[in-house]
Amino acid sequence: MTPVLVLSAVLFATGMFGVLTRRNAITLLVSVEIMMNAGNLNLVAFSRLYQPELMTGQVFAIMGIGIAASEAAVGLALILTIYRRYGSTDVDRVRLLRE
Amino acid sequence: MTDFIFLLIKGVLWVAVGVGMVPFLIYFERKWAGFFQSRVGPTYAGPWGSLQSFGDMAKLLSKEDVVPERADKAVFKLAPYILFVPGFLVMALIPFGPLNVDIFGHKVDLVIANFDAGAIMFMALGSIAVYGIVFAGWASNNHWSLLGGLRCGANMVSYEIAMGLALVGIFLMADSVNFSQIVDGQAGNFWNWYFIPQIVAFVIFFISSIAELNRDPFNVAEAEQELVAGHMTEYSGMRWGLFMFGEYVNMVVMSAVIATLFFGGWRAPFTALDFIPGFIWLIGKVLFFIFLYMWIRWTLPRYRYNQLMDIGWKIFLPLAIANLAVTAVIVSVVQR
Amino acid sequence: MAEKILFIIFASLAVLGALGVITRTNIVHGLLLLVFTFVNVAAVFLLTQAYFLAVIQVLVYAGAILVLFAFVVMFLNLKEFHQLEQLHGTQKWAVLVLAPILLAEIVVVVAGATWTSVGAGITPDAIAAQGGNVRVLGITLFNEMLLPFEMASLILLVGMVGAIVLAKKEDGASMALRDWTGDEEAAQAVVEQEV
Repeated sequence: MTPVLVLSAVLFATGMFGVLTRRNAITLLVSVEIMMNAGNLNLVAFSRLYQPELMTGQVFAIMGIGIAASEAAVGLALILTIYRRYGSTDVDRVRLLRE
Repeated sequence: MTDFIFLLIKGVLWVAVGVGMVPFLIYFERKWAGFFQSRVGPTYAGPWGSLQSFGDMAKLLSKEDVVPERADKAVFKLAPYILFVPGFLVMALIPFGPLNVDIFGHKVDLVIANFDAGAIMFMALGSIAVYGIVFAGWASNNHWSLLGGLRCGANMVSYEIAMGLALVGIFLMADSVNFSQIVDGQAGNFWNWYFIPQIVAFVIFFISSIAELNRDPFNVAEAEQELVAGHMTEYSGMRWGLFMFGEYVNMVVMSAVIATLFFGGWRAPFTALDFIPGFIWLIGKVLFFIFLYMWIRWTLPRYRYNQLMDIGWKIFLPLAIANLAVTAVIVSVVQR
Repeated sequence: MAEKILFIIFASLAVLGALGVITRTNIVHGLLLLVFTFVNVAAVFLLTQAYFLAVIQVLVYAGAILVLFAFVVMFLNLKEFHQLEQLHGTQKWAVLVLAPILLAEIVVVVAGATWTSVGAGITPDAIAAQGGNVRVLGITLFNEMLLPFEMASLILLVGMVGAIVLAKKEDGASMALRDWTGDEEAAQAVVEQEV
């Protein structure tokens, strides 16, 4: 299972790189999705390592995917709101915490 | 090694059937369209116009391949393939005979991939095919195309939900999500097939599948009178032909899935007729559903876009949930 | 052996796709590459015998969530994305140093640890003997994991309501005014006043 964990680590680092470097809000969200996927891979790998007969890790990965769906919906709604207000999805422009 | 050879034979057989049927389906569609509209349909090429599709194919292959100047070229070229490759993958899941058949002394499963979660895999692959149309519409850099692509995306995502919920009733009755076990659950004469207890699910699934295939009366993505040709407006020559091809391949696959889920798959309607190979029964059922699709296409006018959404969300979704609840109660009572 | 080769193929494709996603300036290309990445991750799930999860990965992630992304991208102005090509000025250099360090740390921890591998003996046959991956997963999900499952559905509901409230174009106050009084003009006046 170690190779799966390494793959998960690489994907997580890639997603993190995207989150920290890109200025486009949608790419940020997409990078977060990559990181969540890396987390799911991790859960599955550890479930296979320690409790292969219970599949608890796989159940948690399913939960993770479900939560990711609502996270994406809220995130995209926020991006739409930001786009309407600022006319851009550049996260550097969104500096005020008020209207 | 022999396993691999048998796998190859099965794969080639399915692909040959899927691809080989398409020219004849197009010919029959045109002939039937003529019949339904009191015309004769194609007559010139070959006897009764039977070579019409091959003539069309030669025409499409020899046409100039136009890629619009301002289009996103990579996505534009990729999109038609995204539409029909998932269709072929679904074919691998459909059983055309029992498992562990003795052929020349070898145990062979008459299905390419006896996948544990096969029926859900079919839904998953169907949801990938959406990208073919959405990105074709986007990449064309054309307002009609973009509108067609967006409409199609919303349409397919909406109807997928009703379709999936209709399927859950079948899963409960078969106690499995494996296509082979679903077919096994329908063993016996035709009154054991799932379309009788699951008639609501069948109606929802069949009508949703028309929406999923983007055929009339649900082809809001193409909508000639409003959007020229929707996502296909900028496509010409063989690239357009690939969309056409994908549409018919998906029709064959969808018919095979409906036959497998609701009409006993490869099983004969009466156990007395079991001497006829299952493959022939499956192809017969597939042809029957393709005929139904064509009949509906050339009979009904197209729905307006908001009507389409209303049917999907306000009628089919509640109906599918109600069907699921009733099925769950009955199955749990019967099993106790 | 065959599984190892397949794993290497799918894993490298997934990583390449992910690298493509974070480097593309054209967001639609990025989305297509993301679909590609997720399908490859699903293939890795298949190789770890998590069949149901692989299907859900394709169905929900690649099929539903990314369609949502595609829709929002098409609503937005695409020309703007090309102007966002440059990365963050100062952050870029910090990240170029820190992300590889994080990666190296994780890899060292993962590769250096001694796993007491219990799951090595789990073959497809052993899972099939228990009634298949989907059945075992379902039993776990709806028995001991029932409470988290219900909470997940609650979170989805909250997410749905939140998304609708956030993305709705009309202002809440003007909508309420119109709903109570049926007066379109007054509602419009409220909107204009706020703008």
